[in-house]
Amino acid sequence: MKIIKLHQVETLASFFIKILPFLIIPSGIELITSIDVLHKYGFKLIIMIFLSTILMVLSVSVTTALLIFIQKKIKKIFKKGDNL
Amino acid sequence: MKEELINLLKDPLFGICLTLIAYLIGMWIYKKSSNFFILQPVLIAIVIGILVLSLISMYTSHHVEWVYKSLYKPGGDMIFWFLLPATLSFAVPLYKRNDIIKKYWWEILLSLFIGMIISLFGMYYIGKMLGIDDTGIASILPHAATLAVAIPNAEAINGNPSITAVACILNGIIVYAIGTQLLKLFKLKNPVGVGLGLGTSGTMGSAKAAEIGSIELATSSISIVIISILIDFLIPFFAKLMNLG
Repeated sequence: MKIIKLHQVETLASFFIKILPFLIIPSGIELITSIDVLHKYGFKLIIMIFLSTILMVLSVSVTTALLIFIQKKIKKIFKKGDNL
Repeated sequence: MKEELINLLKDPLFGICLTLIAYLIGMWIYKKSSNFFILQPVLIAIVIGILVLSLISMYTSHHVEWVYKSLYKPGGDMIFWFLLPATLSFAVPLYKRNDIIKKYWWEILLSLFIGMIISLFGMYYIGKMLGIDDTGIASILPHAATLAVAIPNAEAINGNPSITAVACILNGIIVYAIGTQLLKLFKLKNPVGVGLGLGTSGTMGSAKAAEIGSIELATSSISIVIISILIDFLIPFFAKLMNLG
């Protein structure tokens, strides 16, 4: 059952994804209301957020690449076993 | 004079125009700097917006929070409203490349789970090393989830929801600004891995993934959803383990 066809929503969806950075600006400007909190913790809070963000991206990305790599190796070994 | 200015700016058009003009200036500066990655239009627009609101607050001698809520928010909310259908739009690239998800679903789940656990420990010790108190750490731990999931999770482990909001927003902006350089620096090329990694920064990460490729975009869309669910399950256990909250 396919009620909504892909071509009906495709253009609008890719438009929205393109302008998404613009749509995020109001949330960014909202940070002005949190300046008191940032003052209390100071610059180290920003450093922690920065490092945490990078850590999160890297740990997930590297784990995935590693898992897929290991799986391919295992598959290769099994294939070699079949030939013997 | 001050009253007149305030009455003039109370129109929702002010918020919309400020956002638009700030973004256009941002784009202009980005181009002038020949696309220097730190000078992202979004980042410049946010800084300009905050500066303008602070100036208005100084001139009218109202509190910054008042200026934000009564002058900027009416217009800003109208732009913000479109974020909802925009977030929903990620269903389309996900549907288009569902072959990738079907092929790698096991790897996707497992690596998000392992990556999340590594990051939780990493974040905790980074926080401790920087000398941030438990409230600060607890507020940042759930930052990879979407705002709606992150805030109740942070509150449950005695975090400060406004720090969580800052972390969630900055998280997206950081990845959008330095994502490409980060991937290059660490030579990350596996499209599934890149997508999943960028997806941990929410919709902004996915917007970055959209610039890279269709597999990256699809996996980053699924990553947003799974990371939020994982955080909902893992954060309470982790907080107990580390005696947070």
